[in-house]
Amino acid sequence: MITVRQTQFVWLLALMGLMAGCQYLGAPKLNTFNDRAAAAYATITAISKANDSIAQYRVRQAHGNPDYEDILSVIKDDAQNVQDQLTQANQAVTIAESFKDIDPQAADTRLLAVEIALKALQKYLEENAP
Amino acid sequence: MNPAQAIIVGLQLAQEFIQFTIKMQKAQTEGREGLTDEEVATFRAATIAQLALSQTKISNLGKPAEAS
Repeated sequence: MITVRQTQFVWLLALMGLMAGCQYLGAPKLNTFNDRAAAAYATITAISKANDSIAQYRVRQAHGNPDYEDILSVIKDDAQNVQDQLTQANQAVTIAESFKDIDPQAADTRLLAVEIALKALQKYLEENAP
Repeated sequence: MNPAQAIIVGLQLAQEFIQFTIKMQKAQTEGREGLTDEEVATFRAATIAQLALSQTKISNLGKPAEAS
């Protein structure tokens, strides 16, 4: 049986491995609006996959619990909330792209807001990962 | 989450950034300042597909297929 502290340690190891991998590959420098937009899309995709995995794991863990239906409802609501935020972030990047040639400053501001929101979402998932 | 599952999640996250890094390196190798609109479009398409898949998975959470 793996304890809560052990699972947190495993998560920490996985994140450290990911960071080490990115350092090994060399984190790319984001030069242009397009680079940042693509990075935002890649981040949304990655967070979405992590959200799926965490939710499915939590459901498996909840099996057999007498309050299973209540726990399942909370897990679904939480996963849906993250999903909704990711959907909004995705739409915001697309909107920013659509007016980057018309109003670059506004597009940049919009994209910056998405980047900040995605960092907050990543932090939330990291801190609440099982 | 057991170590194997944590590693799988880590690999899923890494996969997105490896693809991004490869495209960025390709752009730099070709002497371009950054990614083209077409390259960004591939990331956008992948994100839309993932969000659709994720919505299906969330809707099916707790149903027999997810429990296995």
